[in-house]
Amino acid sequence: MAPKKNSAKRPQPSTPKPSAPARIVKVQSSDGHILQADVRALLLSSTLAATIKGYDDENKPLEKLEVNNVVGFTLKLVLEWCEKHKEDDPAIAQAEKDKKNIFIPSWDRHFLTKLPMGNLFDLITAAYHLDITGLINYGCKTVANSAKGKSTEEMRELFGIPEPWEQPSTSTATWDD
Amino acid sequence: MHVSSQNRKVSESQKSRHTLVIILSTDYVSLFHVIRTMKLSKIPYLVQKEILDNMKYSDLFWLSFVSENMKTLIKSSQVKRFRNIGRVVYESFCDKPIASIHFMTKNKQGTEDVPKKENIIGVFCDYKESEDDCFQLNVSGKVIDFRLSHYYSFPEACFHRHDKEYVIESIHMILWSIFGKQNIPSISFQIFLTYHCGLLFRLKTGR
Repeated sequence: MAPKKNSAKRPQPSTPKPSAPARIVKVQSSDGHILQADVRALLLSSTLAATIKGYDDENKPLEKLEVNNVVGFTLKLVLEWCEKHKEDDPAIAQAEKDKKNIFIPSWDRHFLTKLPMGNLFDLITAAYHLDITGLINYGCKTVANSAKGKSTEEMRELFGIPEPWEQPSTSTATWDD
Repeated sequence: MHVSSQNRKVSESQKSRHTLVIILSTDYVSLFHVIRTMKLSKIPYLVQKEILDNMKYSDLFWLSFVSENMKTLIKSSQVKRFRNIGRVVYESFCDKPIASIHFMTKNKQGTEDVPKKENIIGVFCDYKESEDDCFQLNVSGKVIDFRLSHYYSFPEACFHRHDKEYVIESIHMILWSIFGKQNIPSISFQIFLTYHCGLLFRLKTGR
């Protein structure tokens, strides 16, 4: 396949820079799993960045960050993605979002498409709670791409929407009809 | 019979192998996580919107058939984006009548607006009894057969000639309910067809 013309505008793969040694902190998931992550990777999350800044401003030692709304399995995926992108400029992800011109790099495409839909949904929701713009962009684009050219029945299966006759008929009916 | 049973066995073994590959490829994944399916309804609204924002108009159109609530979500979350649609056009495509959507969108650099078009649905098609790849959808309260075309990237309606009027009317109604003036005040429905023109014109002006 021929290379795209505007590839120069796209975010380039991270290049290793000579920098200070990695500052590792512990991150605890809602189900008690404790993982380790580089602070630079965590800074991709605006939510965690604010917490880390709070500790730094008060000169408090940062030993463990608690992420109460993400389970261990999903948090591991989030940290894997952040680790890969820790050198990226968050402004690029925001600009891509604003322009509605999202290109998924090959590593991310492989990372996201290998996940079952349920896990991808959890990952996007976690990215939303942690406010990681790049991961939200790529995740949503991947889900949208997976619906491309599908019949209504295939879309129903993909998005877990039951048939109308499988729906509860009471006033407590859910979003799915 | 024997062959089909063998095929089923092969297909089942492929399925289990697929599941096994997923488990092996992510060593930390539990079976619980593998077998879960995505439920779009459980995602926060802003994420739902973000996913729908990334979908093509044609995919949104077909997704709207999944449920009434999905249709409502699409219409409410895409209000701003739908304003970029200028017209819905009934036109001829490879000698077959179709409905298409004409809209403005950003170019790849995101610097300027450019016109674009998406073909949504094949409107007319002669139904053949031998067709076995048809699927049925409830279109504006009427059940209509569709098939995924072998030639185009969009589905087309299949129907007997004597059902023509009600099928065309239903398709027009569903297009109107999603892309009509109540959602997009500046939209226009245009007809560039030589035949069936009278019926479509009546539907258009009737609205």
